[in-house]
Amino acid sequence: MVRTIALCSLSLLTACYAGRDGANADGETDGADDAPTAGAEDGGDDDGADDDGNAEAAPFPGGLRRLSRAQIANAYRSVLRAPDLDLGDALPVDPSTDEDFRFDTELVAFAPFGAADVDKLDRAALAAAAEAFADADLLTCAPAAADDDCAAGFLRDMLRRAFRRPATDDEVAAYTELAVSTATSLDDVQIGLEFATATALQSPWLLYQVEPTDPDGGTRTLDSYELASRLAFFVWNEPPDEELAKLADEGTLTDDDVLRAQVQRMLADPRAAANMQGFFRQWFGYGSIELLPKNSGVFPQFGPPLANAMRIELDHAIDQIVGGEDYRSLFTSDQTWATPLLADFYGIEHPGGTGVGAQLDHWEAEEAGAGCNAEGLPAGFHNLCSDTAVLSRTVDVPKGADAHRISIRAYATQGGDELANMRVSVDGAVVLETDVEAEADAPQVYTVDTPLAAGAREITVQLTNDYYVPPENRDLVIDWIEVDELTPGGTEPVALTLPPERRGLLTRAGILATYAKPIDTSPTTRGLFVRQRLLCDEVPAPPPGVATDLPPIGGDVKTNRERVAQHMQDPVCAGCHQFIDPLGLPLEHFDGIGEYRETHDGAALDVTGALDGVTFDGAIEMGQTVAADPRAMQCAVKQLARFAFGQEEGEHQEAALVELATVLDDSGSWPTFIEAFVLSDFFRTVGPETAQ
Amino acid sequence: MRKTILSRRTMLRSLTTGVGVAVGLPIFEAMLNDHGDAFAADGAPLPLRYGTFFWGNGVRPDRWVPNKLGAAWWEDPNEELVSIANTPEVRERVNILSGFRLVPISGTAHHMPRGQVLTGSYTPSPGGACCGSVAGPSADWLVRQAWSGQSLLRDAVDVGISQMNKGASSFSVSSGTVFDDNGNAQPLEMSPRAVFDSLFGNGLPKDVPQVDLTAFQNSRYAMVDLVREDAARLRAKLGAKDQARIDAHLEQLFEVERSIDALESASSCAVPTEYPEPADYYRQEVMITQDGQPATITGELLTEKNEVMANLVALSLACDLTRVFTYQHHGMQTDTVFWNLPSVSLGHHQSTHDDRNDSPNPQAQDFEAVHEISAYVMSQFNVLLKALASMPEGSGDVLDNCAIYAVSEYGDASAHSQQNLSILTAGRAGGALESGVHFDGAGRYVQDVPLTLMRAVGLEIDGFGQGELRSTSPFDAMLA
Repeated sequence: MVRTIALCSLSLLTACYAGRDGANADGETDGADDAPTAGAEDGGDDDGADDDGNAEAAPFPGGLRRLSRAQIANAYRSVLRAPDLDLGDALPVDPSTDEDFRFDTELVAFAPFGAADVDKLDRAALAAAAEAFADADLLTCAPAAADDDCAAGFLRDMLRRAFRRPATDDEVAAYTELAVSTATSLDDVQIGLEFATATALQSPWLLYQVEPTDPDGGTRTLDSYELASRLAFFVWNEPPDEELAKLADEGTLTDDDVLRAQVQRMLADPRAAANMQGFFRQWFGYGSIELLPKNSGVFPQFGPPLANAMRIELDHAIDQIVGGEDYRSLFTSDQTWATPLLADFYGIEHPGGTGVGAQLDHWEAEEAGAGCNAEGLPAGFHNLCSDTAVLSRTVDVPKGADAHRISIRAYATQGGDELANMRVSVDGAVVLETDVEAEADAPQVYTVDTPLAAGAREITVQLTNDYYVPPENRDLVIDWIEVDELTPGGTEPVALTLPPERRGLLTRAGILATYAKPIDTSPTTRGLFVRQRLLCDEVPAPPPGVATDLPPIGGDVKTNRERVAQHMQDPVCAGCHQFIDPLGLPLEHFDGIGEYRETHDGAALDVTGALDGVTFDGAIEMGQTVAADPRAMQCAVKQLARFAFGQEEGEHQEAALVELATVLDDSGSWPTFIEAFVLSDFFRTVGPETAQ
Repeated sequence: MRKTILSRRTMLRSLTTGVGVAVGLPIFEAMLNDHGDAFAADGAPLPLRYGTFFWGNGVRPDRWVPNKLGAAWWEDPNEELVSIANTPEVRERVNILSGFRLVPISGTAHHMPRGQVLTGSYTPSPGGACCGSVAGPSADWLVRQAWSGQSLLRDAVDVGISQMNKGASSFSVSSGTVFDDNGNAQPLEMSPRAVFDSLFGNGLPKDVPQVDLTAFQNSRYAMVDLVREDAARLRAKLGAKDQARIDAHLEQLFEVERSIDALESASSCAVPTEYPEPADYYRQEVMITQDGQPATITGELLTEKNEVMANLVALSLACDLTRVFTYQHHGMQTDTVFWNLPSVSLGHHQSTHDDRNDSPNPQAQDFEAVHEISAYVMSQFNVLLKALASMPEGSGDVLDNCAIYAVSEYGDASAHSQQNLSILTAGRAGGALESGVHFDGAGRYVQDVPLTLMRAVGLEIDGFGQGELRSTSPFDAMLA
C-alpha cells in the first residue's frame, strides 16, 4: 500500500490531466491563429505529420463500423417492411465497458461479433423473416416459383434495402439460387424467399457500415449510397428511407443543395429529435434516473415518479436546443418544463395544481346576471341585481381524460366578507355546492374535480345570495370559468420559470441527482461531469491504493468543502482535485437528489469555485462561465462526432472539429450546426487507416 | 435386468421434457455399464463439466468463513453459509476455501483482483489510470477450447442475473467475467428467454409441419455458405485491418453450423411449450417497505430470474447441450440493489464502503446490509447447486460430474483486502475432487484453485495465468 502511494505521488504531482486534450486543459483556448506553434509538442505519431510537426488534418478513417443493436433492429424493420417488428431480446447485445463514459456507438463500432452473437443473429433473422412473411404486406405479388418475375423483383428490392445499395447481378444470382434450392427441397416457394431474406439479414453488408478506405492511402469522398447510409444512421439511427435511397440511386445526394434539403427534411422529422435526445441522454448520462440508488431514508421523496419528472425536464431542455433555441441557453436558461411533482420539488407554483392537463375551455364571464342593466357595474357575472344568478355554457369534451377540473374565480368589489352560495352543475347534476366568501382584491379560485363524459356538456354556475346579506352589500363577481382535463398521477408538465436559485443544466435536478451519491452530494463526481463530459478535459482515475473515502462529517468538519479539503492538502490527491472539485463545490446548495438547501445541516455553504482561473460564486455563475468557455462548444462537437462515428477523435481530426465548433459558436443554433456538420468535408469523406 | 444398448442420439430423440420438470435426461441408464459410471458401448466415462459462479463485492468474512475446519464444515457453518449447510443433497459436494489471497501487485481496486481470480492476469494502466486490463483467458475459456465440439450444441453457456450495470448511473460497472485469449470480456446472456431460445429453439419453421430434416439442414447450411460468399465479396474491398475483422466474424459462423448439426439431437431435448417468464426481469415495479411504509420502486426480480436461469443451465448440462458454463450473479463492483432484503437500500458496492461513515445509521446498517447480501447470494448459488443435484445421471447426479469454481473479486470488499478471499468449489469432477471440506489455504494464491479444478476435469496443463500471476502449483489437498 505504501509503495503504491509513493508511486502515485510521483506520477501525479506534476499535472493532473493526461489526456489528448492537454492543450485545452492548461487554460488556453484553441484559437490557434494567434498561437502558430500550438500543437508542436504532439509529435509522438509520425503518421501524416506535416513539416511543422502538426498532425495532418484528416477525417476519421474509413472501414467497417458494426451497427448497434438498435440500428440492426431498424435495418431489419426496413428490410422486412415491418416498422412495428418487435425483436425483443433476439439480437445480440452491444458490448459494455468498465471504463469511463463512452457512447454506445463507440462501444460497438469496432467490437467483434462473438460465436454466441453470430448464432443469435441467425435465429433472430430466421424468426423475423418468418414473422414478416406471415404478414401479407411484404410480398406484393404471388410468386409461383422462386425465380419467376415476382420473386426476382422481390429479391432485388429486398437486397437493395438490406445492403443499402443495389445488389450486383452476381449477388442477385446467388440469393436466387438459395431461394430456388430451398424452395425445391422444402417444397415451398415462400420458404425459399424467406431463407434468402433471413440470409440477407445476417450479411456483413447489413451488419456493418461499409466505407472502404482509399486504396491509394488518401482521403476518399463517400459515394451517394455510403453518404445516404451515413446520413440516415447519424440523424435517424436508421437505414435510409425511400426518398434517400432514390436520391442515392440517382446520384444526386452528393450535390450540396440536395444534401442540405435532405438534412433539413430529416431534422424536421420526429425521428431526428428522438435520436438527438438519445445522444444528449448518453452524453449527459441521465437516461436512467429512476435506477439511481438513493437512500430512501434520506430521500423519501425520490422514486420513479419524481425521477421521471426530472428526466422529462431534461428531455424538454434538450428538445429546445435541438429545435433551435440558443445552444448556450442550455447552461443558462431560466425555463423549466415541470410536472406538478417537479414544480413542487423546485418550490414553484404549478398553475393548475396537481395533474392539470389540457385546457378544454376558458371563458371570461362578460354577461352580468339576470336583471342587470345598470351602468357602472363591474364586468363579470355577478349577483348584484337578483337573489339568484345563473350562467350556463356548453363545453365540448373530447375523449381521453378520465377526470376533469372545473375552476371558477371569484372576487369581491368592496371590502368585507360577503357570502353567497355557489352551485355548479353538469347537465343538471350538482357537482359542487359551496359558500363563496371573497374579499376585495383577493380573488379565489374554486375548483371541483369530476369526470365529464365525452360530448357536449352543459356547465351551469348558479349564485344565490344568502338571505342576510343586504342588497347593497352584494358584490361578488365571477370573472372567469375554466374547464381542464386532469391527468392521473399528475404527470403533465408545463412551461414554468425556474426559481431564482436555478438556471440551466447544472441546476436541473436530474443532473444533480445523477452526479451524487446515494445519501449525499459528491462535489468530485459533479466536478468530473463538468470537466470530462462538458469540457472534454481528461482526468486520470485515482491512483490505486489511495483511499477515496472522505472523512466523516463531525467536529470541525461540517460541509463537503471541508471534507474534500483533505484531498487538496494531500499532495497525492491535490493535483487532480484542485482541477475537479472547484467545479463541484459550487453546486453544494443542491443535495443528493438536487433539492435546494440553504445550509448543509445548519452549516453555512461556501459555493465559490473556479474554472482555470475564472472564479465564480454559485451554480448560476458557473453555468454562465461554462457557457462562455469555447471548450463547451468544441466539446459538444467532439462528443457528437464520437457518437456519430463510433470513435474518439485523434490529432488528425482535432482541427476540423474545432473549426466546425465555430458554426455552433457563431450561430448558437444546433440545427444550423448539424446542417454544416453534414455538409462538411469531414462528414462526407473518409481518411486513410493511418488517420487514427 | 439386461440393459439395452442404445445410441445416445437415439435415446435423446426419444425423449421429450419440460423445463420446470427437472427430469434430467437420465444419462441414460440404458447406455451405461453395470456400475453406472461409464458408457457401456465404449467404456467412455460420463462427461465432466466445468463451471464458474461469480458474484461481486465479496462477503463479510467474519460471518462467512465456517467455524469448523476440515471435513463436514456444515456441522458448524457461519451465518452466511447457512443455506448451503442446510441442504444435505448439496453441502457434501461443496468445499469452502478460506485463507487464499491475491498476488500482491498494484492496480485499480476491484479490476485488479477480478483479473487475478478469474484469469490469473492483470495489466495496470499507465500512470495509475483506471482500470487496467485483463491480459489472458479465464479458466472457463481454456476449458471450453479444450473441449470444443464435444457437447451436442454449445461449447459454453454464459449467463448473468443482475443487469445493474445496464443502468447508466455514475456507479455502473462491469459485467466482465468471461475473457478470451486476449483478455477481451465476452458477453453474458442476461435474458432467460434468449438462453432458452439458444438452447432449445431449433429454428424449424412452425408453418411447415412435415419438414424433411436433412433437406432443412442442407438449406440452412446453404444460408451460412451464402453469408460467407457475401463476406468474401466485401473482404475484397477492405484494408488489412478490416479484412481481419471479417475473417474473425466468419470464424464464428461455425457456431451456426453447429446449431444446424445438432438439430436432430437438440430438438429432442427441446421443451415443447412456450417458456413462461415476465416480459422483463429487469425493470419491475416491486413493493418494498421502508420504515414500515410500503413503497413502490423499480427493481430487478433477482430471485425469480435466478430460479429460472439455474434450471436452464442445469438442464443444458443434463442434456449435454454444453459442458461449460459461467454464471455471473452480479458483476464485480456492481451496485446491484437488493430491494428484496430488509436492511438494504444502497447498491451493493456502495454498501460495502464509501459512505458508511456518514450514513444516518453509522456503520451498523450498511454492514448488516452487506451481511444480508452475502447470505442471499450464497442462497442463490445454492439454488443453482440444487438444480444440478436434481438432474440424475448414472448412479448419481450432474453435480457429481461438475467442477465449479465460485468466487468473488474480494473477501472483504469494504477494506479492498487482498487476503482471505471468498472461494467455494462445488461438485466432485466425477470423483477427482475431495468435497465437503473447509480448506485453509494458509496464504496460497487464488490462481491455484482454478488450476486445480481444470486439472481435476482432465485438462493437461501445468499452469494457469500470465507472468508473475501465473500459478504452477495446484492445491493438491483438494484432489481425491
